[in-house]
Amino acid sequence: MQKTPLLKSDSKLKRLLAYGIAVLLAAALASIVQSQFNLMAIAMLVEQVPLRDWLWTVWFDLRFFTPTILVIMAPVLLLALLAGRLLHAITGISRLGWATGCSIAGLLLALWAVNNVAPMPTLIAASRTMAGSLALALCAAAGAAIYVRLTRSDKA
Amino acid sequence: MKSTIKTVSLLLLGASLQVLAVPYQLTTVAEDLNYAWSLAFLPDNSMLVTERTGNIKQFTAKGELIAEVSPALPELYVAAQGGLLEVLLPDGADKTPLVLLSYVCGDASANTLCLASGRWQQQQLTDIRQIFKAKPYRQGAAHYGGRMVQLPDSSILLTLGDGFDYREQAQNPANHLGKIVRLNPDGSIPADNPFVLQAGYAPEIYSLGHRNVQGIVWDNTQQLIYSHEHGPRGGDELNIIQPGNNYGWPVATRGIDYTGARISPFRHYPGMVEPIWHWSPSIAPAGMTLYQGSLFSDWQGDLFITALAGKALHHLNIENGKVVSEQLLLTGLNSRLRDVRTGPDGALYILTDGASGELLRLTPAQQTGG
Repeated sequence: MQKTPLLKSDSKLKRLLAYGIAVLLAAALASIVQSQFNLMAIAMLVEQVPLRDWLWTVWFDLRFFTPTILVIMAPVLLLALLAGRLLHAITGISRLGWATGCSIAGLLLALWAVNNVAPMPTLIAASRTMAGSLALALCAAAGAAIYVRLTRSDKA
Repeated sequence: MKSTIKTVSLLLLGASLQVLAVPYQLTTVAEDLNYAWSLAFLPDNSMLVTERTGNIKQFTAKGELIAEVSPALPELYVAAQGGLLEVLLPDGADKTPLVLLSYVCGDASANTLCLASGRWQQQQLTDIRQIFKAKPYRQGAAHYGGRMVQLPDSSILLTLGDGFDYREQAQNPANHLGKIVRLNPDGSIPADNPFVLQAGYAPEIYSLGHRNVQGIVWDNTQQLIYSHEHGPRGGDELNIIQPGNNYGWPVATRGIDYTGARISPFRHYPGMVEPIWHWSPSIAPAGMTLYQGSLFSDWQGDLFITALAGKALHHLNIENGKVVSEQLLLTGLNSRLRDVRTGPDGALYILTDGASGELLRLTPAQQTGG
């Protein structure tokens, strides 16, 4: 059975729309992930973080942290998707694999660069540990996977 | 004298302020200070000024440079917020005064705050010894604290930062990150420190749960210790420090991370002491004096706080240990202000921050400068 592409047109507008959706979802996912790292760190210092406070913090971060990670995520995904497409064309290996791999590497590189440029040692608290950095990078990979999924009929 | 005099009329700021306008004048005492951090007055009324880059300069009361030394501080590490920080003269009457210097020691991968003692004689710092090293080492060059105050029993309170990346450690009683510690002037531990016999606690700890304390004073009249600390984005605090108390960072904070993320869901938490005053947005408080000088009668017992990001001298009108009003001074300078002290002449002395910083003297307007 032939699969139906979610976005049938391969127009630039559709790819742009897919890119926008991928970036937004990746940033929102990264926001939720970093909230968990911050909250878990606090939870280890107190008796209990009530569920209401936990959820409220996640919602707060979705509104106020997402723009920050969006600024990092957008160029990382753009470059990773372009690189993934190029590598896919050269090697013939899975476009999804290259896109997600490039976005993971790209976000890790971006976090490293940001931390070297920013006045504070580590800009995003979740990236203080390798586990946190990898978790954020996986969010970028999820964004790349969403883009590939939305544009998988694209021939360009 | 190479000073410039800037006469400023202090205006009432905002309807909530209850302080009468006090006209003052500002005099430049010294210039070309390279990231000046702290100053202290010698018995002859001359001043020692530390530069974060590692120098100590001695100025006469009129602002003449009479000595400049680069003390051989063991393992001194200068980077970002690190370097030579506070100078304190615990017993000012001595002819060869004891000098305590807080500074950052180590290297890029492993550094911490250290305390050294020495003797100031013949315009040199001699007999330099490292008497305390905060534990553990950390990476990065941020949030060292570094301010000191001497208590009436001669013991010294030394403030320590959380190392930025290690904020949760401010709640760990086993180390010195995010703590205020109490030491004797020779670096030994007072026997009556609050946790001195408690297992799992560093015996030097006086209070915990701090982010980056860069102002601490003793109020002899009220028998209170005031300290202020940098919050992250918002949540700068003024606290009254009592032994053994937990001041909440990072569990209880009014600030959020620079990225916009919440650090903690809690503004308050049971068992953690709340500030008596706070600033949001942040002013980045960097120095503090309790005014008990003779030149400004209206300012007796008030706190003056220098702000880096706020680029102002904050005057907090204090009554019975409570802040009743706040007033901003020196906003016209548009300068990051690092430290403020009350001089033996009753003037306020202010250090501006930067590669070409200044030492300024604030006196009543009717007096001529310097």
